[in-house]
Amino acid sequence: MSSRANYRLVGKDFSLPLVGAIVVHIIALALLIGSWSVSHHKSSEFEMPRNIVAKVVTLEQVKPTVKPQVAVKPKPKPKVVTPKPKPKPKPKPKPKPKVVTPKPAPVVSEPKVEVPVEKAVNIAKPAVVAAPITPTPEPPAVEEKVVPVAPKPIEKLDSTEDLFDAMLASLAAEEEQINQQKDQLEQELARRIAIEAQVGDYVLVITQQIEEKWSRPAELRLMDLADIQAVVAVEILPTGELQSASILQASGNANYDQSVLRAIEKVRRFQVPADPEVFEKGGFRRLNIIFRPEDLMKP
Amino acid sequence: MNMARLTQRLILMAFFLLPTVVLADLDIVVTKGYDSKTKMAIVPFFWGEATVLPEKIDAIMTNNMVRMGRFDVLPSESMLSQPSTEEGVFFRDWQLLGQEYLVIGHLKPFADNKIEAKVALYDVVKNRRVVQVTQIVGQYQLREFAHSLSDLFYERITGVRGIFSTRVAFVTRKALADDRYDFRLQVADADGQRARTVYKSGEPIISVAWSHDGQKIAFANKIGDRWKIIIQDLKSGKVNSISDARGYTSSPAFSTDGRYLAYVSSNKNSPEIYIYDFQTGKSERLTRNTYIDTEPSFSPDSKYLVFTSEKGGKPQIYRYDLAAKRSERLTFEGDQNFRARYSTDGKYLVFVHLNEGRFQIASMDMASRDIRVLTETDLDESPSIAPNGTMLVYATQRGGQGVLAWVSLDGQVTNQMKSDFGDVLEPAWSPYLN
Repeated sequence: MSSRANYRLVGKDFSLPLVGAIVVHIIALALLIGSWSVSHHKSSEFEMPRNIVAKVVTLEQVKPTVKPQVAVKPKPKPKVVTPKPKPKPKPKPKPKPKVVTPKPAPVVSEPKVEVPVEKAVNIAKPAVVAAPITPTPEPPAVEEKVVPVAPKPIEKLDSTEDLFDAMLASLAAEEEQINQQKDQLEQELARRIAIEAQVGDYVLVITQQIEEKWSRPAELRLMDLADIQAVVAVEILPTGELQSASILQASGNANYDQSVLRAIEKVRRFQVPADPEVFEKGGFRRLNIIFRPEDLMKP
Repeated sequence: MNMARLTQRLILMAFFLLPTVVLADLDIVVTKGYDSKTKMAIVPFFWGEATVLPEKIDAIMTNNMVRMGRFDVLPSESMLSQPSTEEGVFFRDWQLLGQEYLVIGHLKPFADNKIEAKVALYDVVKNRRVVQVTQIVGQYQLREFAHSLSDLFYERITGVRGIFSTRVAFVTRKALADDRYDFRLQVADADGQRARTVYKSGEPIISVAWSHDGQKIAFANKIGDRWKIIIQDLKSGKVNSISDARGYTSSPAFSTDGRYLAYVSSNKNSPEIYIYDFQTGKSERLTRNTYIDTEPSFSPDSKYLVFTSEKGGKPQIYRYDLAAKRSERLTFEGDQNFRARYSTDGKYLVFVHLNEGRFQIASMDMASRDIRVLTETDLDESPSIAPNGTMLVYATQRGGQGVLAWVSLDGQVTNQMKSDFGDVLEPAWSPYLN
């Protein structure tokens, strides 16, 4: 009886705040998700500075990060407030695919995992990586995540405070997760935009390098050059050194083909991005160079 | 609920980002070239004897290369080393100097006062030897040897046959006392050196033309009040004239096989094109009209003659089909076009193009009939094109004297020559001679 009375009393006292809290959270959540789609547009503008800082870190951490997160989450649940997890999540681009995994995830996660494979430059990171390796993959983590809402209340149903805490915790966890994912997406997008910008810059530089070295056969000036074009496949080492050059599409004029190959050979060292990620993702390892002497063509 | 929506959004975003992840090969489009000159080092050839050789092969080669307008030859003072044998060649040194090609040579005495020459061309970009020549040469063949080496190396570097062993014929005119003149037909090396007189006259000599074997030169010489076509055999020194009773003949041009000579005869009021058959000794008239037709030139396959006609009011270039006996107009652009010559391979026509009062040298691609302006200079007199199509030689004025000027296709004057015998006129570049 007393317990009942208590319950009622307590119920009376707390029902409003509780409902209020839930409503507030739901609103907060809605806002978050809503604002997110907007912020992702903006991201392109303010990203630039960030990427420079995050550059090297992101890629390498991709693998390791996945696990730390999983490990961290279960613990914070109890009472941890959102701020804590944030510091680490930022560098982690991967997590989202994993959270998503239960449903359509596979599609998303695969391509992203592939990209980082390229380089194991993380000399500084090994320590971090070593620890997280232990935990089992994402699937378990996801289960835990999703489950909490149901199982926990059952155990702790006896007190409303517990119920409230559990709810807060799960909301906090959810919010935290959303924040992480949002950050990661924004970072990745920024990184890509930055890479593309760099690729564009280097393409200009390389074009210039080749133009300086390209001396066309004198007899070209006599010819009708309407469609003359040659394509050279060029392989470059990350140092910029020429590895190989071969005619992919001949022009039909042997001297012309020789002149384009020689232009490539004379460059010797191409100015390629020093950042290995930009080098690889930008496609600098293998270039198709199209030679079309528009300056000699009749207007 | 939220999770589901979230997931959806994530996937959407991930898809949105996907395309940028997988970048294919990078395409780079190069649409212009600096056409900078080919950097080449010609190391002074080694000669260990106290005697001085009559010619410096390396110096002749250097001049040859520079004259083409496409080479930048490294001064010997700038060389880090001056190797004469392959053991002394360190590609790195030459790469540091930004060189693309390297020539070295080693000369030593041989029997009979001859010289054994070992000369090699290296590709410094590819770190390899391109070609090596070992030859016994007489002391007085060194110039020819230098020219043939230049031809060989030029062809290996550019893929185009060299013209250093060809010749240039031209006319000199010197004023004497009493309003008289001394006219000479001279033949010199392609660089203008070693000119010798092959014909002399007190009357003007014009329209000089080579036979395709380089053995004969035809030209028009004023004799009395007539113009006569003279054919000079360079080897025998024999002089011939084609029999044409009409009296005013000029602009001779040999067919490739040497059997025919196209020329202009103007006895019937207006100049018309004729063709003379050396075998039968007969002439045939090709054009019939009341306009001026002149400057005939055979196509390399001798199936066509190009010529200049004023049929359309102003000089334009026409082509006569010798089988069909029909002519068609080739040029329509520009105010005037004249003095057309086929390139050695017959693919192009090179001619003088007058546009808005400016004389230009233009070429026509015979496949597309497309005209391109090659050079624009104030040199408007009789250009003659080298057999490899990469250079022109003109007569022009310098310091009040007529001189010859060599011009590359991009318009650079790379060499000039004056004569001891007065003004230089009417140059004609020979065909390949070997």
